[in-house]
Amino acid sequence: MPQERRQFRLLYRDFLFRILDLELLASRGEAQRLLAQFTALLAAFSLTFAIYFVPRYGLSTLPFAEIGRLGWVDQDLLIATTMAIAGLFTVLAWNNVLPDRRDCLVLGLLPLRTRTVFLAKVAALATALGVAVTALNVFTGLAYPFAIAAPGSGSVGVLRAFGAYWVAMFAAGVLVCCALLAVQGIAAILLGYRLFLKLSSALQLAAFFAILGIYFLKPPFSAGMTWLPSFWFLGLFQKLNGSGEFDALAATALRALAIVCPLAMAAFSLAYHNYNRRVVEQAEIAPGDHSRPAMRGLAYLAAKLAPGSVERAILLFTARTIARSRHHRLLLAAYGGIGLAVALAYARDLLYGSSSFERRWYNPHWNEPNPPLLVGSLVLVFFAVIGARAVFSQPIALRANWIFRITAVHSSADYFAGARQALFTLVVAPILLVCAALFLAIWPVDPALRHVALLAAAGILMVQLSLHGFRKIPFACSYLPGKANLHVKLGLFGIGFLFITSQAIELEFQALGNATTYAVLLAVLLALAAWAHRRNAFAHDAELLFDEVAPSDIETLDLGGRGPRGGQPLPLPPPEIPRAPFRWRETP
Amino acid sequence: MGEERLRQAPPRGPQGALMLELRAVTKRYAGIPAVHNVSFVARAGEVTGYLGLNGSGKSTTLKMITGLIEPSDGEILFRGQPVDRDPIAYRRIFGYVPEEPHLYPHLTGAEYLEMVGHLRGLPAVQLQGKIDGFLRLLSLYPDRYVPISSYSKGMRQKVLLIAALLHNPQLVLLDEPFSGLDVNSALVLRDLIRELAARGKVVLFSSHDLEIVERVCSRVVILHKGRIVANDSIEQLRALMSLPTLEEIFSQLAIEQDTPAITRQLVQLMEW
Repeated sequence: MPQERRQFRLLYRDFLFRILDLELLASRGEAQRLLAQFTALLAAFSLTFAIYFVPRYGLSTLPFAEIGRLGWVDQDLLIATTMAIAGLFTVLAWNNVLPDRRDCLVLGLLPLRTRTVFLAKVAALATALGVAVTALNVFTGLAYPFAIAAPGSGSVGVLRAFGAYWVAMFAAGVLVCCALLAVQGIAAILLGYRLFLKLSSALQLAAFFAILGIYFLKPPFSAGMTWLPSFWFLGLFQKLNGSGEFDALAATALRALAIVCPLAMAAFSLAYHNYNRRVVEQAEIAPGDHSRPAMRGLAYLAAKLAPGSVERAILLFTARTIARSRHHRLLLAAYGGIGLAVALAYARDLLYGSSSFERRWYNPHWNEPNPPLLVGSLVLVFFAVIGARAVFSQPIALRANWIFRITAVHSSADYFAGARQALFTLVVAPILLVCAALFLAIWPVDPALRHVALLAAAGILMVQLSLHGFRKIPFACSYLPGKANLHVKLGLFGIGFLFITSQAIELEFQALGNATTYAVLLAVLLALAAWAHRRNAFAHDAELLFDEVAPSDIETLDLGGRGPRGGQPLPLPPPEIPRAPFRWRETP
Repeated sequence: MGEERLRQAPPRGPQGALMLELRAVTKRYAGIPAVHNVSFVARAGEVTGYLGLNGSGKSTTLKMITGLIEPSDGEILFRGQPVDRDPIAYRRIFGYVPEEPHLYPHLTGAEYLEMVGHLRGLPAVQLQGKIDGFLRLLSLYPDRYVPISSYSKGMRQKVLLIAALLHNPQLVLLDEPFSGLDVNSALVLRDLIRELAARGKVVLFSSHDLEIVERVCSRVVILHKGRIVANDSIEQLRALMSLPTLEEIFSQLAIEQDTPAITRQLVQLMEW
């Protein structure tokens, strides 16, 4: 038993630092630092919420019952945010909850019980979820109970509110996590190993976008609505805090927990055991036979769109890498998710009104050109382009890039043009097509086409600007984590972009109704795109880059032949070898 | 004669003659030489074997010849021209099978070869025919749509070999090409190497399998701790050292350890 406990502790510690797909965001060496940064970021959210919400309760002169009713919307937001973070956390952990091939090959040879490994994984997942929920509520969870405790209830009332708050938050987080684990487990059982491998990423992405969509598009809380899980846990919170108004919602929350948690445990443990057996027996990537028609279509399109052989090779390589590499696809989805979140936040104005747009312009209607959709489409293109730019820098199978080095028999300009073409064809063009279909379906033809033309010009400009100075073949150059300094750059770019977008959309909205203004706006965008293209074309003699050069904090002195030892290596002591009682026996 | 004769200086080839020449090539890492003062010539029409123990500098030399790493000193010439004078033109004429089969695992075998062909600028129609033909001849055709990640080591080796030969190179650099191949494929490759030389290609071939080297190569260069210890035809080496096989010649020149003693000590340590 002590042996098993030791094994459990070792595995638990290892799994805990691997539970999130941190390779998406940083190199292995930065994993712990990144976890700390995530925790700090969630805590910063909590502090912002606390500063925003809590003083309002203290400063209000309304009666307590009225304050309590007004607080429902805040409580719903806190619960929904906790559920969204728990969901996103589970989506990030998606690929690490079931055993992977490497674990099975390494751990399967050691004297370990499957139960020990399974429990260590479950414990690591629960710990990480607990840390995420705690960090997200650390300030609100301490301050909010004081604001909502019934007057005159004293410390008992505060303690009750405190308990109600944390129980509701953890229960909400557990429900989302278990629901996603149940989906994953049931899919793994029903689909079988190979089909699950193929569909797992699609399920993961669907869950990611569903969470964002529900969080940003959900209606504000009102007493009659019972269908959203965040409302159930608002009911649970109210019930535990002594209110009798939402007993039915609280009962629904408890029923949901009673169904989902055991279902998740059963499905997940069964899937884990099945998976554990099959992962070693079968290849990790399913044969590509089924994707042949799609890939043939892609090859046909590439031949039409990229007549040059290098451009075609880069376009196909990029498309196949994004289509098949889980790592790159998820990273791109993460950027797309940010864009989608911003776009949905604007679209929410369209659904529920009361927005900045409404104040600045007029009450928007979905079936005529409106600022929320204009902004949303531009934001999507922007985040998709910067996301793809970031993803292009992340290598796939870096040691295989020798083939690009020894086959670099064309001008560097051909490779750079190939990268730009791949970015436009694979990322911008699909968004333009979707936007065109959507806007042509819901708006009159003329403004829809005008907006898509502006969007296309903006997309070309963004592609040219984002790849200025990019001297690599996508996915084929080493990557220095930290060099991009995304923490600072993304923040600055994001703020700058949202400001410029807001102004530009105001201009476009006016231009859509005025042919001259529209023509000037389009001409300016095209001129900027042409200038950016010309600037990139001047870089035709730049050398292709296959290795990011590390900052010269440490430099090799290369004292060969000139140093104090005449280029001889430093004499090191002999390595330590086993001492007594071992002795070499004399050989006859 | 003796050691000096074994490390004979390479003859200077006439300008434009189809041969690969290394002149005093050295590669140092942080001042420590991995390859030191290596000079030899590989001529068209013959297979030059490049032998050495693990870590002796064989793969480093081959990578310098491909341009993947730069020599610290010395010169590499092909057809009498330094290869770094026009690297793009030089890259067009060599094919390389690296020691380790690093391929893009998410591509299928056919897709990988198609990419290599496009990168080399081969016409699309000719490329497809060549790829299909190579895949059929090397028994990879049924697996052409399977991702490389699912390939065995031998299948990956075949993909590397096809990628190296796709553009009909004049210079063929083979670093452990038999690694992982089954008996049938190994026999095909052995004959193929001879045939390539017979067709006037320059073939430089590195391997640990001395039996194959003895059958295939006309000349051998033996490297020990980054330095050349022998550079001659196999017949000459046999005659000079009065040893019957290449294995014994190699043992004499490059192996310093008492292998039976090490074996016994390994077993002792295991049983300790």
